[in-house]
Amino acid sequence: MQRSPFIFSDEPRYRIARHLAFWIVFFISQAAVSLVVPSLFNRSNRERMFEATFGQLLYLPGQLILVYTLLYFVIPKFILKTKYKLAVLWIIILCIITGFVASISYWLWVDDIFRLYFGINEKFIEKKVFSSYIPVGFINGLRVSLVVAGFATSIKILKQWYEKEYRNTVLQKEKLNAELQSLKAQLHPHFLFNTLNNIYSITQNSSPVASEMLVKLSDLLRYILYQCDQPLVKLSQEFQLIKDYVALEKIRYTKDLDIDVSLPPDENGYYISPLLLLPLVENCFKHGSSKLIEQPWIKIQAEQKDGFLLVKLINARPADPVGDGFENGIGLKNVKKRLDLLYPGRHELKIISEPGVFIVNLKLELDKEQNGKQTG
Amino acid sequence: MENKPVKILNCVVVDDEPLAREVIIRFIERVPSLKLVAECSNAIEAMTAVQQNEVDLLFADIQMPELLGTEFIKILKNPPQVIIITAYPQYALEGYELDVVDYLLKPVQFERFLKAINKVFQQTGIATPSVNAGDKTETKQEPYLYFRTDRKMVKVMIDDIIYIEGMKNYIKIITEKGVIITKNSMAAAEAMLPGDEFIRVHRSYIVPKAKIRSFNNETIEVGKAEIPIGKLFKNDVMRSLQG
Repeated sequence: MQRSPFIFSDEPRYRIARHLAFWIVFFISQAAVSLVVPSLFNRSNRERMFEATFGQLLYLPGQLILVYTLLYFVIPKFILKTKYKLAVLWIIILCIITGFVASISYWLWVDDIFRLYFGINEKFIEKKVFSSYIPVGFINGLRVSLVVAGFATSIKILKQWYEKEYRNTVLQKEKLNAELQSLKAQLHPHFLFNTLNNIYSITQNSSPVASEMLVKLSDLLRYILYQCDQPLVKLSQEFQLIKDYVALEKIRYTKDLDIDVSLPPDENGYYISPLLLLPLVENCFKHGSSKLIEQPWIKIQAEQKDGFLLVKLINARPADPVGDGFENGIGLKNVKKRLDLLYPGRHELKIISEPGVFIVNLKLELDKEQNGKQTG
Repeated sequence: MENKPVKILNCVVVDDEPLAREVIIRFIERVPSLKLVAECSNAIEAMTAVQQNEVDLLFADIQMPELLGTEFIKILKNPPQVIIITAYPQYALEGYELDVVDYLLKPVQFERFLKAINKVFQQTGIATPSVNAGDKTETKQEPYLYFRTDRKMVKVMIDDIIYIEGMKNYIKIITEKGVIITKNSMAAAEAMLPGDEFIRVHRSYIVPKAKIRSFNNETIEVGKAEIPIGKLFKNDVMRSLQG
């Protein structure tokens, strides 16, 4: 699903453009409406256009206050959290504030605007007391502000709903896919493990290395088959998986390959989404062990800091990597996708790709509990 | 400390697969305080074995023909201590409800087996016999990186780095052992180094915090070099060095 960045991106330039577009469209539409609606007084089109446009500008401060407080305070803090009573209370308070702000701007500027346009002389519009401006300013200001707030709120809530739907469908798809995979795998796992155990028994005396590998392979398979259907697993389990995987990979390559793995034990009992890090490790081996590199080298390092996991993966690669499609590899793409879905706003992924070296730095917020604070 | 006699535990192994039994029997033979009294291929045989001998410890598979291991354990009167050995992780919970000592997944490593045996000794209150699993503590090696110089990869110990200087298309790594020139960017160097040990003090300089000898508002002294602090980096540097 391709999503337009103009509508969905959180980058400042898109957001600013989006909001500006909203206000411009709104102003133009109001001006247009004023042309269509018959006027009570016999005014020319030009006058009506002027009135509509400047009338809008006059109440802009009130509109801004109402719209942005609704969008970034009342909606996220109360409406989306289903605190409707507080939301209603806040909307009433906001309406009163907006009305007053509108009255003030009306009192301050309305005469200037009319003078500017009609060229009315000074004596006609001597400044009156503020209170006499309140009724008109309040009612008119609130009316136009509520119209724009209505539009803005509907857009916001529609977007929120769409985002949720989008995430749900993507997650659902992923889940179905994963279930299918595990169904396939669960056909005869007992046969698989018992057979592995028998081979283990046979190789135990004749080939200790082989039996060691079998244990690691079994652990790896068991982890993938049985643990990975949970949303979160223990960080120590995920680390063990990586260690097993690295131990198995090591044997495939020559002794030249320098592997430096440092995964310190997790003493805080944190949780992480299963199989999140493995594709990154796989990637290292896929590309860092190439025969074209004179000194193949892989470094996998993790540390914890204030509830965050910092992972650093470095691998050597040929000096002139001729289109090894590295950065765009399917593995990395999947990791990015999963991170966006599972750790929205809770991770940083930095990928540096240069001749001779490839670096991935990942920082993500770990969960303290197994049923975590996953949203969606 | 009084010297308790080390008790020998009588063991029975139940598994329908002979090769699986062999693994456990070999393990039992490696532990002096364990003695095998019977091996059985099904639960009925095991029942007889438990009744006829004085059995302290039972190694049982769960999924066996005729009678499930879990059922078997339930019907035993005065059951011995039980260690379940199985290919099925999904029985773990049921296993703990049966009050088993440990739950091992096939294939079992000797180290893991020993851990389970030690649990048995702890629960029976007998002095734990010293059985060494052979310490497998990873030898912690000094952290290092590789950099590509002119057609060669050079290993650099991170502790040896005095500072890194960025030039136009390459970087210079000044170490205790010499200078290395590599065609990487400052961003790459920064990403490779441990973030809490090194600090970027200037667009073209990264220094190890531990090697800073002195600093003021404008410069930092590392080794014999005096390195300027970049305007954009000043606040971060000061916060990091003073904090």
